[in-house]
Amino acid sequence: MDYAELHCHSYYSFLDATSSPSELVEEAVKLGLKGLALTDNDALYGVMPFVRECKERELPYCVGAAIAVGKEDTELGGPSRQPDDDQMVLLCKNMTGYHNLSQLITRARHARPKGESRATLDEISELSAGLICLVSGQGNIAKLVLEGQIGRASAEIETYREIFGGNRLYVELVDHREPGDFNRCRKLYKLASKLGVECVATNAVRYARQDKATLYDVLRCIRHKVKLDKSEAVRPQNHQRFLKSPNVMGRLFAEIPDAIRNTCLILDQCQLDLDFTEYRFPDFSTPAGHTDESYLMSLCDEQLTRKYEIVTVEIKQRLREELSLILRLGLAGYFLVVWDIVAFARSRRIGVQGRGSAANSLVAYLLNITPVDPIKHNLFFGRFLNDEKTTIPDIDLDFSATRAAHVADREDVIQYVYEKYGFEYVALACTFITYRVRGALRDVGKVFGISNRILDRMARLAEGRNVSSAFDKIDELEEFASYASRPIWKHFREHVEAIIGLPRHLSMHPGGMVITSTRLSTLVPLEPARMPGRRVCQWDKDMIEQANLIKVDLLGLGMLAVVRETVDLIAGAHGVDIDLDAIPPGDSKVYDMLAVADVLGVFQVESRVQMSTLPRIKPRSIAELAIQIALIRPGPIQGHMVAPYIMRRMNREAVRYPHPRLESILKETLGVILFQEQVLQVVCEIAGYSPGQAENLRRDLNKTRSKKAIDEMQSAFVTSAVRNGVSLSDAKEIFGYVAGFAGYGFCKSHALSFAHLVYQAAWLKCYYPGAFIASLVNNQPLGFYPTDVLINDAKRRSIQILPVDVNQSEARCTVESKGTVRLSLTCVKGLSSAKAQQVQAARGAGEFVSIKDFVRRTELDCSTVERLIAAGACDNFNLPRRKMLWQLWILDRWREHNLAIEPELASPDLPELSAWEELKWERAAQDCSSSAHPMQLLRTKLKSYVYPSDRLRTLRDGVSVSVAGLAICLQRPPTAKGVAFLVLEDECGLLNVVIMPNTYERYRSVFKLSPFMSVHGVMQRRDGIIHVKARSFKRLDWE
Amino acid sequence: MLACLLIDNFDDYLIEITELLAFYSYKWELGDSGEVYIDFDSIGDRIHVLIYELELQHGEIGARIGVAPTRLASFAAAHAATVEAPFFVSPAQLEEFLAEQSISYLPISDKIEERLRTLGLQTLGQVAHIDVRTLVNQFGRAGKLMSELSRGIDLAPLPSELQPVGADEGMRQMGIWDGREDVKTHRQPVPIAVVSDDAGYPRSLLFDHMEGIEIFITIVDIWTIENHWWSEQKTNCEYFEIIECGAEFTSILYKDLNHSKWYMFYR
Repeated sequence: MDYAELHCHSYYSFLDATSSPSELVEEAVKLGLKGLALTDNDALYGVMPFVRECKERELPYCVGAAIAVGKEDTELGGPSRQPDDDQMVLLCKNMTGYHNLSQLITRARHARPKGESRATLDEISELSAGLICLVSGQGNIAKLVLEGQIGRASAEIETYREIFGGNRLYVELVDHREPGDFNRCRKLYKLASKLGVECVATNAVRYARQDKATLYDVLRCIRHKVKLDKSEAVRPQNHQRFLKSPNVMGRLFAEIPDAIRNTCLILDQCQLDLDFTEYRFPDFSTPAGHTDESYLMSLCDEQLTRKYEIVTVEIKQRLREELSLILRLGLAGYFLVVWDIVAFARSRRIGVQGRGSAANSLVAYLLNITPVDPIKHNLFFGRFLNDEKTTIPDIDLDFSATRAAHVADREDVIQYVYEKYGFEYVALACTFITYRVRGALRDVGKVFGISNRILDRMARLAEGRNVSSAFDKIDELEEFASYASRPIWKHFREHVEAIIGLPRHLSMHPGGMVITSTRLSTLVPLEPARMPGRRVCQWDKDMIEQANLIKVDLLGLGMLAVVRETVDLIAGAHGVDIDLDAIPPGDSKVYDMLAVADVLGVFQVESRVQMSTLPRIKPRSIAELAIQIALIRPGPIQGHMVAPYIMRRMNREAVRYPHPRLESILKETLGVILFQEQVLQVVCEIAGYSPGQAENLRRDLNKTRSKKAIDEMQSAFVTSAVRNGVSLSDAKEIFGYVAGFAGYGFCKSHALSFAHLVYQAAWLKCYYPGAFIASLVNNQPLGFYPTDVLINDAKRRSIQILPVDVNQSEARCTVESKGTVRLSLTCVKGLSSAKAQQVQAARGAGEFVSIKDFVRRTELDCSTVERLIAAGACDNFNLPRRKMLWQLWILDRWREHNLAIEPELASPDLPELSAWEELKWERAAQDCSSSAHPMQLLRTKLKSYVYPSDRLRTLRDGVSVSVAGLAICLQRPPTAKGVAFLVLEDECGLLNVVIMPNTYERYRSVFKLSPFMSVHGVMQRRDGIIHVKARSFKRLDWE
Repeated sequence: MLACLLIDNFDDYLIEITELLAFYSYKWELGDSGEVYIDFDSIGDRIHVLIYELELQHGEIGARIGVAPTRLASFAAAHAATVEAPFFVSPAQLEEFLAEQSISYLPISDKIEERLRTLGLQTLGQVAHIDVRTLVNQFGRAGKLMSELSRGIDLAPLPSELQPVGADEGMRQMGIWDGREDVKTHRQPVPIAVVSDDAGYPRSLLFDHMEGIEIFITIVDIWTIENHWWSEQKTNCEYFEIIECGAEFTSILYKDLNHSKWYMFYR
């Protein structure tokens, strides 16, 4: 007996199914199903991987969706589900059906809350061509049949028959062996036969195999926010929703064999081959008399003389070659669209620069897409574009992204693109937010009724994707004993492991926009994002690439916003207009600052590792800064390039080239491979590969982990290299370097783009540190360190930080006079820009004089005012903070009950806040504080041999030492073989702690769970860089 | 004087405790935190007999006793007591004893407790020092209550008898009956021998006590229940609604798939 499963949900039904498309296809093949349909809830999220998998395994497939149907159109924006709503499965017979289904889903989701969908009968009727309908055997009709309302049930079926006709309508029969299923199927079959409508059996599958059934129960509980013990109403009564074999399905429907037979008849009708060749990138509206090509060429010619004082033959030749390739690949319009977006951003003073390999292009430089001159920096165009490239290269653009409502930023650019190309033709790519360990612990733990305290502890112990790390050492908690011996703990752990990797919900790609010349909703369903004015398509970037659609990445780069706002603050406070393009390029004071790693807050070079290499490399130019940035990446680290480069840079090792022919390629990086372009150039030079072949080799090495595949690549490379006159041993050695770079690394153009920005940021920090820190705080979250660490760094640079003050602070940090920064109202947690503006508006009528005055005029909610008091922002009312809280709560009660009489605000005598309490209040209420570092207070509790960090400079290498501080960040990079790096901060600065694997395991719970700690270890001093190699840790009690 | 009895895992012995209390004392009350208040004047030392009887059934139960003039004070005293030594607070010691106690003993909401702590008020003594009008102004009715309790005033008498809880509600609270399975109109299931067909479906019932009579059946409905897989009460049963040959009503037959045993519910 043949059977095809025509109703099957993948995990793209978000918390309503557990298996990936690939698992489903694999199981279907194993069970010998004739074919499989993918029918996720109101979505085509999984279609691309599903179709690819089916094609690879030669399994006939069908694409469709389970659609929520509403009988009457409700007001748009209203609640999605109505009591009479139904569900149907729609399957695509052909591309017409696919286009219609995609549009139907788009319409069903339009103007509804995120994640909700409801198609009306009118919409279905309008878009029914090419679709086969399975009327749900578990929905409204089934309910009517069971209630004996045969007349109404018949009428409903007739309605669907009018839409789909007799040959594209089937009644779906589902028998999950739940109470009532058996009889319902029989009654539905009887009714359908009476009406002359065919039936089809499905199992409405939610998991590939039965062993995933309990995970499905857990997902249902997460979806409905209930514990397992109280979940009867939201999960099925048994575990029968798995892919069943033809024999099992045949037995279930032994009395209705037609229903099984019809599955294959429907499958045969569905002959869909997803084909998007009709897709085109939109044409650019060129001036009269121009084509895309001629306009692009004229723009380039025009800019050529502006950008270069002397246009050499080499430049002309390069431009000719690039343009010829761009035109040959039909990408002129694409470049013009990107040029137009950049031009718009510049016209609005929105910081913008190209990133990635696009900066290798002279055309991109001439169009102002990138600030990097590819001629000056000798950039290799083949990395960006070559004749053999099978996919359209992404041009990624960075725009300044700011939280300030009044400043134009990336959001304006996105809205510009929507307006220019039309809402129906543009959408952001989506991303699927999948479960990681912490999220899994939280969601699954709640379902199993595990206490929040335990879950919180486990989440803090969790590391990467390692589930065991969260479960280790949990037995130290007293509460754990109540779970330990119960079966629930084992199930909890198993389900945490099982849920990892499953998509939980949909989110937006940071900036990937798909633009089309045809209506995009016919290719992929679109849906509203939670953010107003945004629509996302139902595919992520990989699926978009698979469908050969072009995406332009409009990314947000906080540092561009920082740099711009710093310039504005300088103009306001110092009356100096800074032109960042005109700042001196080789300022030694700036490079001196970089050389001593005084770089907190400076984008790209502020990380712990960068800070420890800066004093060794001491970059003195933009090109050397680019090397500094590119050096600390997985590619150079795994390729063992870092140490040789540093040794050669410090003249401790002679520069050596793997082959004399590589000297010109590797000269600037002292004989080691640091950039992606160098990988390609080395491969071209040594093996004689074309740029396209070299790029393919680089990509393949990046993707594959199979030794056999790498051996094959090596063999081909070595053979070509030998043929190219390179010795066998040299060829093998060079392949080793190339393969070693397989991990992620920067391309030089990308590093240069960033280096320009790093230099500008460092220059601003060096000459206008007050404005720089104010701008940094205004643009948080950003970079490597918490706001408080940046503020503490500024204080150590003698910048006076003034506290938040309801009578002085603005919505953003301001520079009050040279070197003095006033923290903003928004530094207080929960105080949004809108609330800050509320305060500013109320302050227009005069300064606030008391809590009562403040509450009445600002009308802020109680918890916000609580935090303002705790942060010390109301201290100028000259009342102790506790007494102000006393008054606030009485005022709040009065406000809540709308009492007309004046409240009695007199407070009793309350204990004064201790210095430690005051600090704790401030730290809890705001992200940064102007007051003392907590270690300053804790220091009095420490023994005298626990040194502050600035004392370490006076100690010898190798001595035993004890230090203490607040944990700022803990890293355990995969490339470090189990060694971890901890940054502590005390009142004098930052200090680096190196933790060897054994010490890490032994003391993990201390530095993972306690904010303050003391460390005993050995002092290590290398080239002026100080580390403490930890031997033991001790928790510091700060309560 | 009131005795406060604190027992580890109080809920596990709830039924026995209430039965014993009803026997030993006519004035008692269950508290909100797994404790019980008993009129010490009426129970006296027999409270130890009550504990002994519980321990006879359950072994060590970690019972601690605090005796004091008010509920709050006896509750705090029970926390100060050990299993070996009860803790007594006389009326004369009451004010001094309460003054040192934490505000966590006050029957107030978490929000009010957090506010008291934020204000730096950690002990009942600090609360007792604040004028009652000021407390009422800030906390409303809760302010009056905390003022009284922290000063050792407890005006509510112990109830003289316990209101019985309905049996259904009691069973539901204890999780014995979840009211879910659609078999509640039937009697308790009895084991039965079944002859199955090749597909594993029941074909007939075998009655040994009726000289091995085999009664053929017709299946009306089939369903499967797989539930409570996360607990020790895991169920995995296949149900068949059947009509015995010649019978008028349907019955429910089921196979416990965990143990491969057949049972029958009769109406």
